[in-house]
Amino acid sequence: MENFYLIHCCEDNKFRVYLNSSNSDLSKKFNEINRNSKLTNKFVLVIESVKANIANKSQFNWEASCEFGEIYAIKVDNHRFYTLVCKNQGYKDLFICRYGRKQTQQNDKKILSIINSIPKISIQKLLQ
Amino acid sequence: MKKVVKTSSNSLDSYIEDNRMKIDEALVSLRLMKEIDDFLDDNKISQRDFAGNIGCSEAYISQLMAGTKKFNTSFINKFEKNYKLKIDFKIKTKSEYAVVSKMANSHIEININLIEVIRAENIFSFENKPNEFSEMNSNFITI
Repeated sequence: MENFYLIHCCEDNKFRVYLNSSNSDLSKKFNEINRNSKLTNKFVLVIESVKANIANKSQFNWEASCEFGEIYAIKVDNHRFYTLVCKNQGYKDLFICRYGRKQTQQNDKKILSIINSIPKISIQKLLQ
Repeated sequence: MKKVVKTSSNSLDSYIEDNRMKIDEALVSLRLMKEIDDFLDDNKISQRDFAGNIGCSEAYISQLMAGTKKFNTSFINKFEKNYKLKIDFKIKTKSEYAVVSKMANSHIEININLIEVIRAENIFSFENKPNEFSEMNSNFITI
């Protein structure tokens, strides 16, 4: 069982951000970022840029496609928040699913398995 | 079974609310940086090479891309001179800006949420008439 909770919603832009609270690694890192104002600022700037359609690849990088939507990495320094982006009833929904470190030759396979695990999440379960 | 739990208030929203002005200022800079990022991508220029070409540090470009630093006229001047480009600043109304969310050499991205508004205001035709499209000068970037 994985619980996603709404961490940000903008009705004007029809934009919502959900966080997977069942993934301990992700929750831990998200809380860590929330306790650091510089990192919070960077994270918020990515979210606001995505909302305004002005995010660049240094902030929000496309990683893969799946049947539910596109998988992007929210990049905050060395932190990577792997996010499923779905269109749902006019809304752009961001589901922050997994956490990973910046991609290197050493962790390349681990990152790939993290990304590959995201499409296995059932969208019906997510939205239920 | 996975479920969605809605929270009415949280730290992210309160941070955004408390820092609205600062965030909006960064977003102005990020609008240009998005265009520059697309330019670098189209021309296969790495951020490292870009930094070297315009005489800035890689860290500075990285901070501009993250929105933690804002561009200045010196940066724009160096960019224009080094790549023989012209950044074209145009004032647009809010509705006009929102309708065309992105203009590239190959395509124009339109905010589909506003299609009914466009129809109502009769801003432009939805008929497919190629002669209604004007040519775009690729040497100009509009932000």
